[in-house]
Amino acid sequence: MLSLLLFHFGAPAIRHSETNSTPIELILDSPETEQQVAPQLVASPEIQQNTTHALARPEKPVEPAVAEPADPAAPVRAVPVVPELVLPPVQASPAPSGLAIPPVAPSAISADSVRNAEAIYIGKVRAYLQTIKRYPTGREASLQRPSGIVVVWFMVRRNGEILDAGIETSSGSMLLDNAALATVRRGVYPVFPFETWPGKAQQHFTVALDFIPAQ
Amino acid sequence: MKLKIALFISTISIYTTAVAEDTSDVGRIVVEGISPGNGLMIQEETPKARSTVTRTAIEQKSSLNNSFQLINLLPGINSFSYDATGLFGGGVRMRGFSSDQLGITIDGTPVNDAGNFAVYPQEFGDVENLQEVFITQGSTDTDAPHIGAAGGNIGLVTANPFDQLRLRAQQTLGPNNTSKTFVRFDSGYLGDNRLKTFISYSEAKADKWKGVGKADRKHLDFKSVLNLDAGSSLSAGFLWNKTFTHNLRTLTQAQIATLGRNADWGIVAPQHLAGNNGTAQVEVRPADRYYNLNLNPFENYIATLKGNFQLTPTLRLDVEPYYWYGYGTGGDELRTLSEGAAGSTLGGGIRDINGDGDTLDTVMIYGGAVTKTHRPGITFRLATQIANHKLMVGYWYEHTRHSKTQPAVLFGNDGNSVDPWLQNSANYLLRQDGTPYQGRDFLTVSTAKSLFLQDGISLMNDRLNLLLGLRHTGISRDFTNFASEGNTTYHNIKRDYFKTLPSLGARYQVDNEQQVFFNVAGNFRAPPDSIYYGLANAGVPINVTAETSTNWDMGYRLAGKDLSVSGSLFYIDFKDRIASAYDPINAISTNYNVGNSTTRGIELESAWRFQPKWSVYGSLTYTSSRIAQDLRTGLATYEATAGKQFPDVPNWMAGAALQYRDGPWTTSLSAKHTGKRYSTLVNDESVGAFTLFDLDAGYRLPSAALFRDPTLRFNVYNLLNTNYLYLNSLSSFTTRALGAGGAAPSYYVGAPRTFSLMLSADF
Repeated sequence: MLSLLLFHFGAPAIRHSETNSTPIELILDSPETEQQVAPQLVASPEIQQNTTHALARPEKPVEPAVAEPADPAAPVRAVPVVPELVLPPVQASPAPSGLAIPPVAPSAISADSVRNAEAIYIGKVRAYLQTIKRYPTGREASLQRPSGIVVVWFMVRRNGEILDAGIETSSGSMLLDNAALATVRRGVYPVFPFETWPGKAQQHFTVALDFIPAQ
Repeated sequence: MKLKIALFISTISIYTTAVAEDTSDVGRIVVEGISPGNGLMIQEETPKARSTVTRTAIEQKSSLNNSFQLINLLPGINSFSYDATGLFGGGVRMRGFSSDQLGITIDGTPVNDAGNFAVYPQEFGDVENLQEVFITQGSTDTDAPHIGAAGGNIGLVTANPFDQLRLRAQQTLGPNNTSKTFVRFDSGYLGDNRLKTFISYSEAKADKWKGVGKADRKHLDFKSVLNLDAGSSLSAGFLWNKTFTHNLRTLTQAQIATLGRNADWGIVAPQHLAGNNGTAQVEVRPADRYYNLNLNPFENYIATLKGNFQLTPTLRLDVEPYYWYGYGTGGDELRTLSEGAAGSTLGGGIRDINGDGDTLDTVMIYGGAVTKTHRPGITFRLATQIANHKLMVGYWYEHTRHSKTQPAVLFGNDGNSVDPWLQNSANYLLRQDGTPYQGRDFLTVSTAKSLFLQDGISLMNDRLNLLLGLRHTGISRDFTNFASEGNTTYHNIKRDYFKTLPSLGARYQVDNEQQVFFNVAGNFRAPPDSIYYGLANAGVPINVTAETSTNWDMGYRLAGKDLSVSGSLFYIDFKDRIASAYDPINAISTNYNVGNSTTRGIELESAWRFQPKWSVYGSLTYTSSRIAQDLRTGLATYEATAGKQFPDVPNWMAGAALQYRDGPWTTSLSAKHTGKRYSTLVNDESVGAFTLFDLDAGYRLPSAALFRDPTLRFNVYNLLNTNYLYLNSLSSFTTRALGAGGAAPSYYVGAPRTFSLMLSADF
């Protein structure tokens, strides 16, 4: 029982990025899709206004445009502009854990505003990590004074809860790897705004922590 | 040519590769070790009481200072220096334990004297090359190579060579003929950005602030770092130090009253009596001795090699051998020696010293204890990460040959001895059979070992951290007394002192800024080899065990944006203190375990940047240390020490530094208040409280032509010219000052106001 408590596996894992398959780009970012989406942006503001109110009409789960790995060269599944298809906005307020959050219809939100909102969220995470970052301390850290860059990956739920984290690229120092992982793990992240990462229950992040000893 | 460490051990990571998915990159965040309080504090996270002074604070102080002066403002610390410069030496107390009860390391290499654990801070590296000094109050680190650390450890960390090619020159000047010239050459990264080296040399001197005489120090530091692949590195370091110092005279309170604070050793060379064959000339030493025969010449070097190998991202091997060599003598070396059988029963007696043809005389000579130490040692450490456990296992081994002799040489009517270093045996005064006179002749061969294990456990998403430590540490002493005038019988004593010492630390992160911690650690201090001297005289069995202490801390830390606070409550249970007392089992007065004591208190430190250019650091320490039992001085006689405070441990100490930084200006006004201290074990003499103020100012001049970053620094010591005294004692104290059988304790007189000016430039 004690061993279950004290030993929990899954951290820190070292996963070297070269062993992964190429990361999948958000469809919305691929150059071809931009052209197709752009003309539809004009229509979106009206839709967005309608989506701010909850509606009685039951939500229709819509297959999100980026459900499975798609060939970037393939034509985009059109972001349907269906004025009457409005869904209650998915407020990413604390949903009971484990519950599937109904995906947001891509039509309701423009690609630009999604990217903006995501960038804003990433900015918040970045600013937050800036406040909780710590250079490691202790006898080992004082004598070794390690420096290096650790790339940490972490999965955050829509409700801001951290799901898991691990080392993407080691710095070559266990002290720094542990300090980086500890910083990320201890974090209490903001809740995802509803328009970010539509249709996803969690998001995968990476951050590179560059440790420099006190000069 | 790339160097590769071709050892691929599979990592112990049980983690299933997640389904590849899109990733949002938060970007690059620089994490720099910051020190609020301008270098007097760091944002500590270790689950034990710990304080640090970084380079930012070190470089503001005078370059002449020694490392103990640099940590004076930290909580729990009471450091003293025999003069303002620090060249004459000094000491430190931490939670009441003196420097010979603490473990000191330089880059992980132990520097306490192998026999009696004394430390001499003027022998350490130049502070220009010092990166950091860390102290762990009360607890000795699990992997620290100490067998004499009852009260915690202090670690000095040397700076790494600079990344770029650079030549740095510094010149410091001050009154009392104070001068230090320092030159350092950094090669910068050579070819392939892997190897960088620095070498520095300095010469420092200062006259004694009272009396006649001076300190002369020559020092060399060298460090080279070779970066290998994947986080591995090799580094080599070398330190050489040679000091020749005239000692400052300590005075009792009665002497200060009659002779004045500036009384020092005599300045008239003692004159020898004209020899006369057939009559006995009996020379008598002058009452105030002679300054030029009261010396402390010492030479030492330390060579360290570190191999740090990151075998896999989660497995690291450290191999760190070192070699320490020291030779020197010191103290009041003006003595007398009698010729013939009166001087020695060995070797047919002492030969004619003054050359008058007879062996009837008693002649003044120059002689003192000469110590010579060879100390090779090595530490092995293996660290790995398994799931949420950071495990470390290691072994430290050290073999010391420590010899103590006491030869004698002549000195002339000009007051110069023929061999101040006592290093040329051709100068030694001899017995009739040709062997040299030796006031003592000991050889201690010590083998120190420590097997240690540490587990750092991260729980609850790293909000809870546990640090478990276990070490089996000890020393085997092999002491030999060779026949000498001090003890004419040859004998040999072998003793082992080993202890298993656990420690447990826990830290809980309450929120982003606050944490609480708890720590309990066992420490031990093997008996110093001086316990054998006394017993050797009487030829009785040794009845001494090691001193042990258990240190408890409970603390709180706040690491805010502009405010950092760290505080701890502590309790130390110190057992089997070794002191000179009456051993009833062996029925003699000797060094043995006299009893227990408890120390409790509070340590607080805080750094607050209250304006963009202004910050303040403060520390407060309350210590109450009580002796548990009375001290036995005879079969049925005792000294009333029970319930008394330990000497030289003030109840209250406070430190503060107000700092201003604006562009090229850095200024700091600091103050240290030391409360009233007792001077004897029965608390019948005390020395008053005092506050010392220092001012440190630096100005960076604009770079011009050849000179890069020229800097001017001005340091004032004891700004208000306060009168104060330091007790002259380490871990042994005067029992009683007053009454029959009492002995007045002696003090170092505190140095008056002085200043130094330094100019530094890079090329």
